[in-house]
Amino acid sequence: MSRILIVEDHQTLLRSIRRGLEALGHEILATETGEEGYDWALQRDVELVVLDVMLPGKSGIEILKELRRAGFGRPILILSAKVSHEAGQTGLASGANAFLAKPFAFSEFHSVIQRLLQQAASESRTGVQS
Amino acid sequence: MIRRVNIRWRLTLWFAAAMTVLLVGRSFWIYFMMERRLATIADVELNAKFDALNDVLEQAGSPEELQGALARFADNQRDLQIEIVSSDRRVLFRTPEPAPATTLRPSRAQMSNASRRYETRISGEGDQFRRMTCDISSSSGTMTVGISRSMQAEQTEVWDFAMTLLTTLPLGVLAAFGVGYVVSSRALTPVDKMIFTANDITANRLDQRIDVPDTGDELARLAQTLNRMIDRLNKSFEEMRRFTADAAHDLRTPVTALRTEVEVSLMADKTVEDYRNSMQTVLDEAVHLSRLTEQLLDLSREDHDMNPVAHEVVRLDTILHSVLEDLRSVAQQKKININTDQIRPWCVTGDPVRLRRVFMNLLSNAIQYCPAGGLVWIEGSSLPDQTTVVIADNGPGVPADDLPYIFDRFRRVDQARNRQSGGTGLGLAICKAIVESHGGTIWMESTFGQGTRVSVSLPSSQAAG
Repeated sequence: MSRILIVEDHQTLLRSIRRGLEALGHEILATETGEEGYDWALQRDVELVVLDVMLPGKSGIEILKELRRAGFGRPILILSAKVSHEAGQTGLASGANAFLAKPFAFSEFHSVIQRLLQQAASESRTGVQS
Repeated sequence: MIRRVNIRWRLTLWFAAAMTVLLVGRSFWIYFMMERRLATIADVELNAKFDALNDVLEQAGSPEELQGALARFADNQRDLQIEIVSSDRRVLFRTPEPAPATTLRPSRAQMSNASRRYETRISGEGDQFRRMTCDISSSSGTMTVGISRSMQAEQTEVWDFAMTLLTTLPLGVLAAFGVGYVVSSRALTPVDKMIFTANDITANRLDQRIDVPDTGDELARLAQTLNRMIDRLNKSFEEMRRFTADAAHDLRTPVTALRTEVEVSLMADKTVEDYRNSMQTVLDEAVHLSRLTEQLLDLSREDHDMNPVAHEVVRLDTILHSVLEDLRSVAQQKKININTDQIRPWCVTGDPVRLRRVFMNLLSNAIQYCPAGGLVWIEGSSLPDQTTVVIADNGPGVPADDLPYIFDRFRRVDQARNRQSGGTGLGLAICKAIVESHGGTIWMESTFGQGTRVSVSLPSSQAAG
């Protein structure tokens, strides 16, 4: 079970993802604004952040950059509904670990999250061993 | 044929042709002026000779003496042919070589003395002679004295000159051609540069601009005009790009939500209540998506002028009352007061169905954003050319920063609340497109926290009043 933060301004999608991930045993923190997401990521010991690119106010990319600048080292998955994959490229270049383009299947979404969590876990184990 | 030739060569050809006409004309003019001048000089000389001959004629006493004096005179003036004829056509004196009489040409240089006539004669061999004739009265009757001299030397001189002109003419034409080409090339160099830059500008490189020459001339103005056109293209491309991105976002996100909702619901058995909630979510998203697609289609139709504006006389008051009737239950639920006292029989020209959509959007916005117990009112004015209708409310208003973009597509002032209320962010953009396709204008005034006024101005119908 992992604590996952989801920042997504579309309420229905946020609710569905939350329900799905909770049913799979994760603990979910969910918010619609980037500013709150930034604070929670740094304060609430989340293991993974799911960040939508197009958010009202500060964009997901800005929040991503700020989190990395603030030293947040946990995996970040960004979601984008833009036509071009530029947003994904920018996200990856700005420090995201993975990028998923909408519309996606929940199974796909979940497998990306699991992969990221496993990677983070194995990295921290290697880090502890070495 | 000449239309296929580029401007540089056309200018060169026109310049060379004009210069050729000028050169040929000038050559002819110089030729005739020279010929005329030489004839005049010859006439002055003939005049002087005639005066001398006249002296001889006057001084001689007897006819024998006269013949002798004339022979001596003619002997001294070998370049002259002298002929004296009596009034009865008898030849009184004639030098051995008579003046040619084959061809006569009218005099080109008449001198002021009317009794002296001048003419140029051409012999059978083509040699020119200048001849002066004058009638003199004497005791023995009237005589006609004619003296001629050869114009051979002058003719040769004029001919040589004409030959020089003729041989230098092609050189002049060639020079005109060269100068024309160089000048037109220099003049068109900025155009070539513009073409090069313009060719380089594509949809993805609309940030480039054409260099404006610092001359203030037509080419500078052309460059400025092209740059302004590229600005407009760039702006509309940017708008299109943003619109596509926004549309993609607004379509893909609800589709993802729909899919996730269904997938999550199918992951494990749920209670009937859970399924009911899921179905409601799916329905809400489906309704939102269908409204969004409908509005995207409407905008696309407006953008591509697929709805030609009908020129019917439309009673806006009828439309407003009908829209308010449809919105009555929503307004009553929210306890919104709607004041319709100011509505007058306003007549405009246009499409009643599309104008109804405009006022439906504006009035539902006003009711939606007004807090419970709020007030919405309609006012307006009608002038001979323009009728303006204002939909006003005392709702929360729009922040000043958002006001300039309020009619932009997918621009939502309060996105969260808008989504809750089912807004797509296209309603005002559609209103703007419809009003503008009617030749009207739409604008919003708002004070944040105090209320909003949306004004729609449309061309009045002639039937108004």
